[in-house]
Amino acid sequence: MTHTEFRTRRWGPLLGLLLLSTPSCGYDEQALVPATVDEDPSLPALAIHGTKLHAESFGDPEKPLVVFLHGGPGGDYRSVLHLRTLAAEGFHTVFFDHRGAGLSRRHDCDEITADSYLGDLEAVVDHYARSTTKPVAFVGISWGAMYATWYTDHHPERVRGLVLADPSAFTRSELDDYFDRLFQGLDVFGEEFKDAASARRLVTPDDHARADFLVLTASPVIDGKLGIDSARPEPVWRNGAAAQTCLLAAAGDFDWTKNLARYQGRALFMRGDKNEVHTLAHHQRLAAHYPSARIVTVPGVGHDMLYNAPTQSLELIRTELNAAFSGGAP
Amino acid sequence: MSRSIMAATAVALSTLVVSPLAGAQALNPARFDDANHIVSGGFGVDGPITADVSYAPIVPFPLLDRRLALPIRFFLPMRPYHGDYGLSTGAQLATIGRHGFGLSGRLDLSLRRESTEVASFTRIGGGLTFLGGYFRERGSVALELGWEPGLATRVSPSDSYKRQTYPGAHSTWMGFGNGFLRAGVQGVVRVAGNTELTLRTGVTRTEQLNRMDLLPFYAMVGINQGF
Repeated sequence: MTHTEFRTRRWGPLLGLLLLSTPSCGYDEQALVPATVDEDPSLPALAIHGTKLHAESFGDPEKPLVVFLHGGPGGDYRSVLHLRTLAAEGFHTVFFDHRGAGLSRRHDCDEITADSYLGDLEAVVDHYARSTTKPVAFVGISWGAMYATWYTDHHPERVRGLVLADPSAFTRSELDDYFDRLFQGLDVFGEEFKDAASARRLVTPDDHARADFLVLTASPVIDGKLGIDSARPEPVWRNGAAAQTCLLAAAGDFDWTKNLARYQGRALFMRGDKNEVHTLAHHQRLAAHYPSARIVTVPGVGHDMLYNAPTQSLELIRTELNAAFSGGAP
Repeated sequence: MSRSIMAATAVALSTLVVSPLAGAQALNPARFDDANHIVSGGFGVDGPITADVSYAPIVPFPLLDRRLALPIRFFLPMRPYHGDYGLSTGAQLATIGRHGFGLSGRLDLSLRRESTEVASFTRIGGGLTFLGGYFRERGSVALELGWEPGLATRVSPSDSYKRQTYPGAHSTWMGFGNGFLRAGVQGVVRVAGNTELTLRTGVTRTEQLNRMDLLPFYAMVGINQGF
């Protein structure tokens, strides 16, 4: 017996046990969640600003640039992809899953920072604009509407139009207030809460796939207050748990309203009348940060307005973007 | 060796070999010498809001010249759906000094089943818990450190998840590396005769010390009846 054989025979079982104890749990990650751009090269992707984003664009690049920003943080653009039809109406439309979200590359918390997120969006806009000065308009839902405001606060002169559907907050204090209202009166005896809490005793979030999968089990907990139609849920590809958990914590005591007074473009706030959290008063408070903003309530829907009221939403967005790029008065 | 001792040894050894758990009721090891049976009931937060009942015979364990508790526990979410349940069995031993200070160790093996909108889960888990504290017949208070590894967990995505979210989803087994840790306190106070009130509370973290969202803590109150 050689020395190597001896060591293998003696320590082999122990090594095997240690390998079984590795964080991967030895399971098929893609059994639970779809592959990201790092695992599936067939997905449309954009390598930029030190990451790799799931991204695609539609329409003539010479036309006015409109970037769609999904919810979350950590969500994806699957539920707003139907708005790509605007490409046929004279807009260059861009969709991408944010850093660590959707089908984009996964990052640990230390790479999901305020700087990296703002830098990503600046890089994406410049990439699709093919310049650093071409105007851009944003259509953002929930977190995406916050992200759009964040960019606008840094580049008020560059943004031509904004459609902000149910933004949650533009400052830390507003966000704290929003979460207070969101989680107030949560039904901890309800099935949704039980499902989410139980799942966390059965699968732990020690790798990205498991953590992302667990996010899905918690989503229905707040759907009722947000007026989301459980019979017609918004489709998602994959949630990014690290982005959801880490980004807003990393943003610290943020205030994305300091330069909004310099923004001269249009801002349309959209809300659904079934939403008990993003109320009209909530929107009025946020809209007051903009020099000129208007609020439209879409009847019969909640936070899922872009998906579950597609015709009304598309019409509002189309009208707003046409006015923004034609130089219409705010 | 008598058959009861052999059976107790077999249970203790099998839990030692298999090692995984599920939140257990609080037993006061100082009672192991004067009670032959302890039945318990409790409720609180441990993952979901949970209710449990358990029964623990106390048997001699001559190998270590101790008495051994062999708890069997049945636990449910307060509002179970779709046949959710949990079962665990284990063994608890203690060494208590003359002044009441002591150490106790506990091993558990558990089976837990849960169905949700996204997936159904079946988990064979284990538990290794150490208690260090002050144990008297009239009451005890102890620090608790626990490790609850998943031995094998079957995750089966639901049809609605496949239909609405990810058509490529399919069932998978997870092995080790899917467990969590507990750190907390547990106290037992004898209130009348052989009746005790119990409290366990503390925080949970994953095996890699990551935070567990939603309810990253546990707090269970209960009642023990010895006889």
